[in-house]
Amino acid sequence: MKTNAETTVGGDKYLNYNCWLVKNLNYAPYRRCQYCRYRFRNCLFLQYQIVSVALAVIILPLFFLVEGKISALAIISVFASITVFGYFFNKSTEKIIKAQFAQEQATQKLKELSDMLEVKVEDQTQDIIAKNARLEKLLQVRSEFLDVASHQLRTPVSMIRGVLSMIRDGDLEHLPRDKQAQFIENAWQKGAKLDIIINDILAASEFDTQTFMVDSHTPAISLEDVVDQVVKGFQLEAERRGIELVWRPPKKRLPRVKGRVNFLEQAISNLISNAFKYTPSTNMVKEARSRRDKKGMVEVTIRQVRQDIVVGVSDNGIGIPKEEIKKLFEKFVRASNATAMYTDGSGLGLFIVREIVEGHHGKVWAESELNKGSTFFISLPIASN
Amino acid sequence: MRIYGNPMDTKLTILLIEDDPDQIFLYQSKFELEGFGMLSARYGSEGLKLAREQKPDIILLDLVLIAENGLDVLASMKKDPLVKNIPVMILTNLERDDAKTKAKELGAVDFLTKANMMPSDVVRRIREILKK
Repeated sequence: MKTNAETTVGGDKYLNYNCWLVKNLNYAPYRRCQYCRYRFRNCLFLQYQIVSVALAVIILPLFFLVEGKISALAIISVFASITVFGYFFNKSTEKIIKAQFAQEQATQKLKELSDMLEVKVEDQTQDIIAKNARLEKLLQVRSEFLDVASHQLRTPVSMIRGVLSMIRDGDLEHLPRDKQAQFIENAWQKGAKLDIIINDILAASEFDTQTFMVDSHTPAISLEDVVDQVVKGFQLEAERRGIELVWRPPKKRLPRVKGRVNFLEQAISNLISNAFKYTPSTNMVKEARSRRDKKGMVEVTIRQVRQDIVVGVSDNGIGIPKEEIKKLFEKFVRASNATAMYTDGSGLGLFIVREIVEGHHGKVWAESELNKGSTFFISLPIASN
Repeated sequence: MRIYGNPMDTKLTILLIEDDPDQIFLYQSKFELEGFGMLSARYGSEGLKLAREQKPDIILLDLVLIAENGLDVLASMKKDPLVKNIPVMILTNLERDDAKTKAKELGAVDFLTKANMMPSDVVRRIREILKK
């Protein structure tokens, strides 16, 4: 058998094992069987065999008729012509078979390419769907955020304008002296609050344009370092307010978490800032007298709990009623007992914390006891390599 | 919760349900100057109770209350036979279309945004509604 590439087109896998010639002769005339595997009647080899047999069957008897016997010459010449015929038959069918094979190969390649393309398109589609989902979530976060922000801004603005409108209308003069003073003081306080709200909104909107969601590209960072930096930043204010700020860094390095330093700094900063607001402080003017005797303390802790790193920020302030804890992280709610004290919050702080922590696949929650204090916890999963 | 004036005389009474005490102070001062009697409550439950007992002529309701949604309060008011016929005006800073539609659906007679309506505008609107 010739085995060079040109003649054994396709090789073994093109054998038609249903061909009785292959089966019975145990013979693999490759070049024929590539064609034969389609139809028995299309088997060129068989056709060749039939023609050869026909030749022999017709010509030999002719010889016999002419010469009265079948001479050796007759037999030799018949088989010689069959062989020669076979050779030329071979050559011509080879071309057909090669062409067939080339076409098959082309079809096969086309199918492969088409399958590959399908897979690629499917991948791209999935990618687009995932990106779309993320964009939708971002848009939703942004729209929620705008709702919160616009409401928070409108509240003090409406108060200030309300007071001014009454002054314009000349109503203020008709009020008793002490009420007039309170009026102006309220507007003043709301003005101060407006400034804080605007700063919070700007900070939060900066985050809004970037991504909140942690993904495989997010680096692994050391959470205790982040907390350390933030606590250091609050030391001056703690002194000013007469609050004891306690931070005990862990003795051993804790496992890292996946996250962005600036976001986590903001989240922890918001919690500590809140704790300062609701902790008794010797410098707070509007506080109840009893509160002033208690020294304000804010404690920041960090530890590993199973597969998470948990940061806790505790204060010894007024506490939060249990029913209200869950709602704290929602848009507008401040705990009911918070309004009794002087609070300069924008109402956005915890909302931002929740968005950041959830974007980091973490959890945030609070525990509290009325008049004893509250602790806010952030838990982030340890980065898996 | 405090009651100004005597709701028993022919003076018209307004019930304001609002969580911010500074805002209550503002509107209270204005309404009293304008000759209205004024009731106020910082919680929906308180407001509902006052409405049942004192039968104000109109209720002003904020939507963002402490751990409470004003729309729920509105729904409860419209279910209560003693209170449901008192006109309720929403007075809030929440500028959301879905809140506006829900409020109207639940039977609020108007929806005012505090940022756009000054106390004198609110008074004018109240007088318009009470004239009907």
